[in-house]
Parts: sequence; structure tokens; C-alpha cells
Amino acid sequence: MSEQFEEAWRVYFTKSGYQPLIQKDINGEKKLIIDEFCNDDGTVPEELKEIYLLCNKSGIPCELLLVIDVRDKQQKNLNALCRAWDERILSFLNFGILPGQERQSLYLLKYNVMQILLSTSVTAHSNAAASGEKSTDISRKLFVTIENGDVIESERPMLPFYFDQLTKPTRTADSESELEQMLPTRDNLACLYETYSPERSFSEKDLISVKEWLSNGKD
Amino acid sequence: MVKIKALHIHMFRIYHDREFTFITETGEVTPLILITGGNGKGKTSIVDAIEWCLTGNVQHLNKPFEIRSKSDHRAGHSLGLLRNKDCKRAEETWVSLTIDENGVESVLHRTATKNELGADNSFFSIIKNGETLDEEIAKKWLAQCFDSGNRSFADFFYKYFICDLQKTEDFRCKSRKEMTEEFEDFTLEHSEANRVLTNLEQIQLQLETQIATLQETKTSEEKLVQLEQEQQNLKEAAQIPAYTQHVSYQDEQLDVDKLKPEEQQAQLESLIAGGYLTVSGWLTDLVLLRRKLVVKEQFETHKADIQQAIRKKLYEPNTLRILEEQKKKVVEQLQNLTPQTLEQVGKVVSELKNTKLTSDMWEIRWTEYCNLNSTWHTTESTFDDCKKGDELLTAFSRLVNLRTKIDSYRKENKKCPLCGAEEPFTSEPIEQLALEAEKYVKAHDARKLALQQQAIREKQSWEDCQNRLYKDLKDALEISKKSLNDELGADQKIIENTSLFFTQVVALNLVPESFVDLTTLETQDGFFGIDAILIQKQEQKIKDMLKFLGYADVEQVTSIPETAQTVISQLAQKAPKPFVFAEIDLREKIVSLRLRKGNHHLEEITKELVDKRKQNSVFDKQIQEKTTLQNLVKERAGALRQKLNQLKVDEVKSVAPYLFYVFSKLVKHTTLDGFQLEGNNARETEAKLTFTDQNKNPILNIISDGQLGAFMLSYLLGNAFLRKDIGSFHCYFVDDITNSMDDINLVSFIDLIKYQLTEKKENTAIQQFFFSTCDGNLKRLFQYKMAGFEIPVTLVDLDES
Repeated sequence: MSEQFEEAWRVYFTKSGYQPLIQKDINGEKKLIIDEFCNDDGTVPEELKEIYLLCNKSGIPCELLLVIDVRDKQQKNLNALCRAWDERILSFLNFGILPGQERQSLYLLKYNVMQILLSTSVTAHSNAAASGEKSTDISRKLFVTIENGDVIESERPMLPFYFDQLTKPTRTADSESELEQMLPTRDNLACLYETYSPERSFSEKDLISVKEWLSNGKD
Repeated sequence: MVKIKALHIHMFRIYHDREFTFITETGEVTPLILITGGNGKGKTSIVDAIEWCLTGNVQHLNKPFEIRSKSDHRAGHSLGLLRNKDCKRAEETWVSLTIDENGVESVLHRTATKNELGADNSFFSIIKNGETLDEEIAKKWLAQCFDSGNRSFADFFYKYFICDLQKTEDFRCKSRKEMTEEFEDFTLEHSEANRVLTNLEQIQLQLETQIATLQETKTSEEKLVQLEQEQQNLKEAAQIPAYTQHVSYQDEQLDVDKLKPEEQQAQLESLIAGGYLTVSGWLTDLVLLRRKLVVKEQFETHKADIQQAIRKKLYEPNTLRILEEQKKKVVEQLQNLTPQTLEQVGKVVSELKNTKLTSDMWEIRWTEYCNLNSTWHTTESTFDDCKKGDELLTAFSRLVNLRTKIDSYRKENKKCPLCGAEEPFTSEPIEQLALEAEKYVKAHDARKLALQQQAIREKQSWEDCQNRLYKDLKDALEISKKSLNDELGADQKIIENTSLFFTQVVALNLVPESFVDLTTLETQDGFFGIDAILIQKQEQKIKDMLKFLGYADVEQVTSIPETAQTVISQLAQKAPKPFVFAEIDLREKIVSLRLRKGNHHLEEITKELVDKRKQNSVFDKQIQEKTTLQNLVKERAGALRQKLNQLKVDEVKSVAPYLFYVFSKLVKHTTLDGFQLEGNNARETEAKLTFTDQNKNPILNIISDGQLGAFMLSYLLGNAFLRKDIGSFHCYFVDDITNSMDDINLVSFIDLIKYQLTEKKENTAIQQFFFSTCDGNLKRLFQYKMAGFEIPVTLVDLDES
């Protein structure tokens, strides 16, 4: 499985305008220049998959999303893990700095940092995850189930910035398309799109057009 | 896109007069309007004012008001419902809403002078480009902006654009059917596909009618067979005999080939009428013959009676009547007969023919009766005179008695007691007088007795005579009555037996008296040779001719010849006159003309058959084409209907999970693990559905107030997402519904609004958001979150004003 496929979840963030902050060097090593989120040796913690930054129209950072992979973590350690990351976030908000940004520019990030925890289905629906998500301390936490490198369809709407499935939720594309194919084009058979009236009578010309349409459909 | 730029409220609810503007420092319309303030400060009234201006109604007030008013008019008193309580009677309540439609400004204005909700109780207008347009245009503009279709606009607006506590409570009370309807809102209307389906169904009906009409217009197979049969008959009779060259009537054209078909037809009709004319005469003869046969047969059977009737003129109605009157008279005399009516009855009886008491006899009897009566009465009179002598005797007796007393008085007193004279009386001594008197009395009594006895005898004689006379008269009347009865009976019997004879005789204009002495009619002129066989032959002859002429009911000739004669006479009126009848000639002429006509007819029928077959073929083709199209339309309509039903079912099924998506965006890890609709699997769109969680527990029973608030927000947001591309109005109103929601859910909600109000978002469904709360922290969190995303906020802080 390619890395791109393994990390299909990334597309929801990038499509919504979030900028990834973790780089990779030529050796494929992850690089992050925010100390608060790195290990003591400067390496990027293994569970930290990405940090996404969103800036407002003025270029001021307004939202920070930490994508943390907890799929191989034990449920009993989850709360501790979340707390540990909350501490890193607090440290960052108090003392950190973003690359290319001034220290003061972090003031809008307060209450706008969120941990997105990539989980297995079991973990995402565990009590530990529930208690984490209920917490308003320092950052919001959201556990999402990852399958085949992607957020499962039913949990995608939980991503706060993601609205794709909500604007056309009940439409079955295939069925709609099938329905569309069963209808004539407006150009050829405008008469069939007119509002029903009991007094209305279809002309012979209309009937010929209807026959042509239905006979072609048969072919 | 349409946004609300400003609001001006006058004398509405809590407000006297207040203006609000929702624009940034740069003059742009603010996407978020945050309304804060304590309870009763007017947060809800702002949303109410907008709703009233747009719809004329305030649903969260109207529904409870209607419930209150339903059973208690007083409780429904509308004071303060709409107008500010300080509003004077004549003062207007009004709300103006300034709308920005892609940079173009319009003002919606609604006024009312009554405290009544409902669009009909207020005036609505729109001001565009400085011009005030009437209510209809304003309504049309609204319908276009909201794409509200045919739904009630007030219900529509409240349902899709407002979320408040009243609505939350209403939702908990929804029945399963209402819940189903709420969820159907999330499905597509497929209005275009439905229109196509309706039109296809109409085409099907139209084709059905057209096919039925064509079927009716087609010449039936039965008719074609009939025409073919007629054609065949005409072909077989193709040999035409020559037209007989004897003239039957003046204008007859003997060279018939020169005649046009219609002229030939006219000549044929004249000949047939001529035939009828002759038959009419035959029928007259037949009727006469039949009558004569009846006369003959009757005479043979009732000869004696007939001749008796002739003698007694019983065929005349008066004859019997006279007898009946005589009988009546006799019966009357019988009833009137008493000793007092002897003279009158006797005279009548003496005039009767059939009694023994002649007129002379009666005179003698009556004279005898009268004489006896007279004799008795004379004796009676004499006896009465004699009885008057008794009175004289009494007077004499008294006088004798008185004389004795007077004499005694004279003797004693020496003078008369009457005149006082003293001279002595000079009359006979009293003994002489008494002797005279006794002698006289004896003679008188003897005479009186004789008279009395004589009167008794005479009376008895008279009475005997009277009784005899009475008896004789009665007997005579009884005999007369019986005799008349007998005669009447006999005559009636004769009349019964002879009436048919005389009817026919009269009908034949014969004189009855001419039959009085005849012994038989067999040899009489006019009756000779008439019998049933002769008549039968005559009938048959007539029937044959009538049948040939084409007369339908030939049996009339036997059954009702008179009726047949009347009908045939009418048919004969068209006959040319004079008409020379020669049966063979006439038959040949008619046959000749008929066959000629048949030949024309053959051509016509052949042509008609070809035309009709050709026409039927065209109709068959049209029917086939229309049937093919009808089948195609039926097939497609069926498939379309099935597809639409399937889509509806699928969509309704997916509504609950969809709402759970929206819900789970707001609410984290609740006790609810999902939403679903429980019902009849086959017919979700029509059934009553229960809104449950994944374990089929009814949601509305187990959901908390906080969760219900979040669910109602999900419902509002879900509809907002679905209406993203519908209409141009995407402003939503949430009024103080978040009080029961916990912090993390509020953060989720604010984040969601934040993402929606961010500019240039592809999936933005909310263009403007009005949010009211009395929670200061929530207000600050909203402001902080929006500030991060640089979303302009208009803060309406009612605590400060």
C-alpha cells in the first residue's frame, strides 16, 4: 500500500485550505520546526501524523489541527496521551512560535487548536475517546475511525470543517442518474415539463415527439 | 443572494420605535447578528418582527394563542399579541425590513392597526428603486426569493428558517404521521420528474380516448358482412326483364332506360302506390264480403228471433225503452195504490193494454163504488139529524121538570116566579105533557135505531166494494208487471241473439224489414255464393299482392282487415289517378324497375364496401400506432413511477442517518448511537414512522432537553444545507435555544457556524445568521471565534440600550 493511499485522510484538510506544517527531508524523515510538538531529540513524534494550520484573510493563524495516530495505542493510555498533547499545545500557545510568524500572531489560536485522533473503530467508540471528546480543556479532541487510510464515510461529517456529505446527503447519485436517463430533454419535449391541466390536450406533433423519444429509448 | 441589512420596528411587541442596522464599517451586510440581553429585553421580538414583516404571522405566538382561544374567547384576548401595549388605537404598527439583494436595496414594509396575526390582517408592500409596489408584487418577490412553491408562506418560513423553544416543544409532541412529514422535507420533490409522469399519464388517457373513438368510427364487421350479403344478392339477381309497354297511368314513361335512377325510383313508387290503390279496393270488397257472410250465418242461426225482432222493431233502441217505461209506470202504480188513490190508479189500470179491466168496466165499478158511498153518507146524514131530536127532548125534559117546580112555587107563593104575575097558569096538566113526551121519545128512538142500523149496513157494502176494487186493481197491476217482465226478458234475449245481424245489416245499408219473410239468404241477390272459402281466397290474393308490393304486416289482412284497409288507403294516396290496374303488367313493371334499382344499388354497395374497407384499414393503422405509443407511454410511466417511489423510499430511509451526521457534528459521544425511522418497510413514504435510535428506542422518549435542542439545531442546519441551492434567501434565525446545551456542544455549534459564514466556501449554506442568547460567555465565545476567522459580527446588546 502506497503512502499516498495510506494517508487518504489528508485530502479533507488540504481541500479545506489547511496548510501542513510537517515537511520531509530528502531522506524521507519528517521535519517540524515547532519545538513544543517535537521530541526532545528534535524528531517528530511517531504518532504525530500532521499539523495543519489555517490562516485568516489577513494571514493571521486562526486554527491549528494536530493529527495524531492512536491506532496502535492502548485505550487505557489514551487519556494520558491526550493530556500529554494538551500540555504540548499549552506550552506552544504560551511560549511557541510558528515558522514565519510573529509570536503575537498566536493569540487567535487559543481555543482554536484541535486534536484529530486517527483511531481504530474500537478505539473511536471507547469510553476513553468519549471522555476525551467531552473535554474542553486546552483543545478539542476528535476521534475518527480510519480504515484503509481514510476516515470512514460515516465519520467524515464529524470533521468540523467538512460539509461535503451534508449538502447533498440523501441523494443517491446512481439513482438520480437513472431517473435523469428516464426523462426526456427539455429541448425536445418541453410539453412534458409543463404543469398538468385537466383541459390540456397534447397535439399530434407532441405525440410524435413522445413516440420518437420512447422508441429511441427502446433502441 | 438576499441578506437583511436593516430593521425598523414601530409599536411592535416590546418596541416603541427602534432601528437596527446590520452593516460593517465598510457598509457591507454583516453575516452574523448576535442579539444579547436579559430576559424581556426584546431579543425574541427582533426575530418576531422579521418573521411578521415577511409573513404577517408570528408562529410561536400564534399557535398557543389559537389553542387558548379555541375553548375560551376571553383567554384569547389579543391585547399585546402584536402591537405594543402603549400603541394608540389609531396608530399604526409597522415593521420595515431593508433587504440587500446582490447590492440592490429594497424595503419590505408591513403595517397593521389591529392586534391580530395573519397576513390578511395587515398590509404588505415592497419599495424598490424608490417606488412602492403593491402586495401582490411583494408576495411574488418573496415566493421567488424563497422558492416556497405552493406552500403556506408563514408555515414555510417558520419551519425552515427559525429555530426556537416553541418549535422544540412542538417537535416532541409530533405524531408519527407528522414526524414522517417532517422527514419527507429532506427528500427531493422531483417535481420535474413528477410533472413528466403526470403528463405521460394524461397522454395515456388521451390515447385511450382516441383509440376508443377510432374503434367507434370504424365500420363494424357485422355491417360489412351485411353489405357483402346484399352485394351477393344483387349480383345473383342481375337479369333484368323488359318493362311492359302498357300504360298504367298518364305520366308513366315506358322507356325506363332513359330515366335517371331517381326518376326510375319515383316511377317505381308510383306503380307501387297504384298497386296499393287497387289493393285498397280489394280490401273494401273483402270487408263487405266478410260482413255479408256474418249476416248470412246469423240469419241461418237466429232466423226466428231476427224476424220476431223485425216485427217488434226490436232493432230500434226505442222499442225496448217504451216497454221498460211501461214496466216502471206499473211498478209506480203498485207502490202508490191505497184506498185513497183508487180512482187515480183505476184510471191508469183501465188504460193498460194487458189487463182485464177495460175502461167501461172501470166506469161501472167506480160508479157503483161512488153510489154506495153516497147512499151510506145520506143515511148517516139523516141519522145525524135524528140525533139532533135528542137534544130537543132533553130540552123538553128540562122544561117539564122546570114547569113542575114553577107550579109548586105558584101554588105556594101565589105568583109567577119568573114575572111575579099573580094570575094562575092555564096550561094542560103535567101528566098529559109527560105522556106526550114519552110517546114522542119512543117513536124517536125507534127511528134512530133503524137509521143507525141502515147506515152500518150501507157502510159495510161500500167498504166491501172498496176492498174488491183495491184487490182487483192490485191483481191487475201485478199481472201487468209480470207480463211486462216476461216480454222484456224475451225481447232482450232476442236482441242479444240478433244484435250482430242487425249491426252488419246496418253497416251494409240494408233494410231490416226486407228479411222479415225470407226463409233463406242462400238464394238472395248479394248473398249468393258467399262463404268462408271465397273470403279466404280473397284474403290470400290481397296478401300475395301486398307481399309483392313490400308491405310488412300482411297478416293484418286476416286479423284486422279494417285497420289494414286504413293504412293501405294512406299508402295509396300517392298513386297517380286514374290508375289502370293489370296485375301481371304491374308486377312485371315493378320487378323490372326494382332490378334496375338493384343494379345501381350494387354499384353503390360495391363502392361503399371498398371505401369502408379502405377507411377501416386507415383506422386500424392509426389504432395500431396509437396502441403502440400507448404501450410505450404506459411502460415508461410505470418505470418512472416505480423509480420515483424507490427514490422516495430510499431518501426517506436516509433522512435519519443524515440528521445523525449533522447531529454528531454538534454533539459528542451521547447516549444516542444513531437515528433511524422505523415503520412498514414496504411503504415508508406513506406509513407512520417512528423516530428511533439504533436499538429501536423512540428518540423523543429518551432524548434530553439539551440533546433535543441540539437535534433541533441539526434539523434547522440540515434543511439549510439542503436549501443551499434553492432560492436566494439563506438567512437563519436561532432564538435562545442553546441554554441546555453543554460547553463542548456549543463550541462545536459555534465552529460550525464559523465555517459556514466564512466567505468563499464551496459548501456554504448559511449566508446570514441571527443568534440570540442571554448568556454573556456564549456571546464572547461567538465574538472570539468569529474574530479569528475575521467574520464581521453585529452585536445587538439590548442590555446596553
